[in-house]
Amino acid sequence: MSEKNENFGGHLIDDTGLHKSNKKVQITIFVGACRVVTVVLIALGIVALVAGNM
Amino acid sequence: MYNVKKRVYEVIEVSGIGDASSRAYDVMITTAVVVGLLPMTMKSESVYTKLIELFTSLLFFIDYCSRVYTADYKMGYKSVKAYIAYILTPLAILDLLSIIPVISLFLPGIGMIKLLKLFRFFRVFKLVRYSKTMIVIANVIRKVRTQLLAVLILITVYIFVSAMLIFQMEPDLFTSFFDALYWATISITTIGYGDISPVTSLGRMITMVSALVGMAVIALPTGIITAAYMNEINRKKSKYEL
Repeated sequence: MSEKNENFGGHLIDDTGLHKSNKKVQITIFVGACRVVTVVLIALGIVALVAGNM
Repeated sequence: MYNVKKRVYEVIEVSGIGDASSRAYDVMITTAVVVGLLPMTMKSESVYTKLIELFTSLLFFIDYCSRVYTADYKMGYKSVKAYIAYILTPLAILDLLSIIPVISLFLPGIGMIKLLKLFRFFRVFKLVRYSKTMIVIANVIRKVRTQLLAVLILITVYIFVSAMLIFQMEPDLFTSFFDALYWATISITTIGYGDISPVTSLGRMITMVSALVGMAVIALPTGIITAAYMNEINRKKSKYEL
């Protein structure tokens, strides 16, 4: 998503004068991080269950 | 201007439609709650259970700090009182209690510290936030809490009276009054393990009467909660019909 001449701290796209929003990137990073943590937790849970019942 | 605090509040609260960040956060915390309870299903601790404890406690700590940080949004007014009021809410207290078991990792084997592990159980209550039905039930219980408290007092008095009567009638059967209390609770709740049973006719008579009346007393909270729950459902139904 791009918006013109707004000071919200996005990237300036080369010579276009348009700012690329950081918001979408931030959301993607946050969602990705949450999913990674979720997967790590599930993996730890499965390993702990297997190790605890051997 | 972009309000970071408001956004943090939106993310940690139950996700709205189309809010991917909040949804991912909810899934992560729900998973952490479920995985955080797994060590309670095992006899001994392993390196994996310790990792789970450390990892989930860290997540819960961040979650707790975020909730306290955004307490003014949650409580609906901006003042120091909002933070204090939030910290004293039942869910915030349960959140804090659910972090405490991590202490047992750093101070292992010390008598009472071991008991802190039992506080992991409080993590279940974190799930209340993420279910609309659970929120309704929690509200219903809050509404009828005075009636429930009255019934709880009645049950406690009844158990004590039964225990006192049987303790006097069957002194050889019980080593202490606590045993009599245990017997009264097990009999009145209709569990009836049978490990302690009266032998004299008078003792049996007391048992019969206390069991019959006890059943009615024990059923009271169920009736109160069910009636209040049905009222809440009907109220919501009529609200939508209007």
